[in-house]
Amino acid sequence: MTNHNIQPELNKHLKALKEKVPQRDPEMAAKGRANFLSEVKELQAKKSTPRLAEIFAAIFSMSIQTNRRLATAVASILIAIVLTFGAVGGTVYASQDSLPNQTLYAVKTLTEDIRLRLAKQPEEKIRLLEMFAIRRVEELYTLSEKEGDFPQVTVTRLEQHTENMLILASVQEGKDLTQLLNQIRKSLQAQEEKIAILANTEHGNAVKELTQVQKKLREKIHLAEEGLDNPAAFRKKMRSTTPFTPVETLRPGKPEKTRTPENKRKPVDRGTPTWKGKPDQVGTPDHKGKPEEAGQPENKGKPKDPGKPDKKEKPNEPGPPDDKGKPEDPGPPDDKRGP
Amino acid sequence: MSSKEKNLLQRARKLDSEALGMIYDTYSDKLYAYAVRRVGNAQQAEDFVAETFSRFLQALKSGGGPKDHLQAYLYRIAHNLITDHYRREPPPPLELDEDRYSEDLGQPADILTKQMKAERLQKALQHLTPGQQQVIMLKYIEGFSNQEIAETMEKSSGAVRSQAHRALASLERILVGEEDES
Repeated sequence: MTNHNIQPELNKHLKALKEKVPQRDPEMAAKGRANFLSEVKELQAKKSTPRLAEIFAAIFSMSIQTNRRLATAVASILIAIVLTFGAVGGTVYASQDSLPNQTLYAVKTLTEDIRLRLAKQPEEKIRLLEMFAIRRVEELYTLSEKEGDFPQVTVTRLEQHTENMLILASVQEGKDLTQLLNQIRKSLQAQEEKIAILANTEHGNAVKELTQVQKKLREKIHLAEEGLDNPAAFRKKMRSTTPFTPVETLRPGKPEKTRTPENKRKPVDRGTPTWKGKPDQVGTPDHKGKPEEAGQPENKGKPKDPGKPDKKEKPNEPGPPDDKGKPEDPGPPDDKRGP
Repeated sequence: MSSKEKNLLQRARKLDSEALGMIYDTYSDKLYAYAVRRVGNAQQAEDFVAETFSRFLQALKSGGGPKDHLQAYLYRIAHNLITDHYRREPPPPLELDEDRYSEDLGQPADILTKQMKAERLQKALQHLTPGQQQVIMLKYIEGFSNQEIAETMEKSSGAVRSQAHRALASLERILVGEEDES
């Protein structure tokens, strides 16, 4: 350290700060270490889960060593199993670590959509959406380390996940709503923090893109906070800003196969939740802006002022769904029941 | 980077618990000291250490993480976390709460003076740019060489030197200005 050219008074300050380190609490330090190592173990367990092909190879190798006829029989059975289930399972498994610029990413996002569709309770769906949002942020991290490129599909999906969390929460009441909004807010804050850190380490265009993502996340956090302060206004706002099918209709079922221009443009009555979805072409970059389960607002990217509902829309009667919108989740069929 | 550290990093990439434990033991106290000097709060400093290592692990898991210069990498994460923290919370006012020190009158005067100086500098630092804070902390507090700082900040040694010069000048202005006001 060369402090020879520093003013003596400043030098004294620097020295004082250098000497100022409170003793680290050994208990806290040990706890921190244990937490870190348990995180390591979790990752190891995740990484070491054998793939079907490996299991197949191991069993086949064992059989060959013991009995040739047995080996043939075992191999035949395993081939049949693998052909029917294994190939699909293996691909799905392998896709889970894929990135947006890889072929298997489409499988990854499709798996997510199916999981979302199969989840019955809104709490379960929200938990899944939180998990998917974490994945999207992890993807951004990995991409920034590898290529510094942020495909729109990841950014769009992240936005859809976060928006749908709030939409799903908005149909809850009382304690459930408070609990869900608190959970969502915490989760969004964690993701926003990660994006801020990433933006801080990036350069050029990436900073602009990440700042935009961060801004969107902040908007959602703000919405969740508004929901905690004034649930009724939050619900109204969620209804007025999103042509969304309420949660009751987000049940597994047959997706409607076709959409005629007429029914696409027909305004949806909030009281009669209707699912107009069809399976999404997930994973392809051109599904930019398409909604996840819920339709996206037409003015996507320019959220309406929550305090100023659109005059063109009647209360409780949202605008027509986005013509271009394709939901992420191949949703259930029309549900004509009222809320 | 020594061959020992290289080997450690190689094992860490394979999520070897022992290697990761050794990395934690080598750097966690240093990172804690760095964080506690920056934020002045033990609990927050612990949180920053935990988050730094968690991010390191996530990076390794996804095939990223440091290629070399492990220490530089970890300090960079910690710095970014702290910078982000202060981005959310505006820095506290420069003036010290002198009454707080009157409770510690039992302590020798020079210790109290040092504590006040340390805290004053800590607050003054928060009024510098994140890069300036980083260079001051690494160079004059952590005792990093210009080369090590350059690796941490991903800049050239020349850029580090000139940033350190500007940071010191700003810091002096802030501290002198503060004394003039009081």
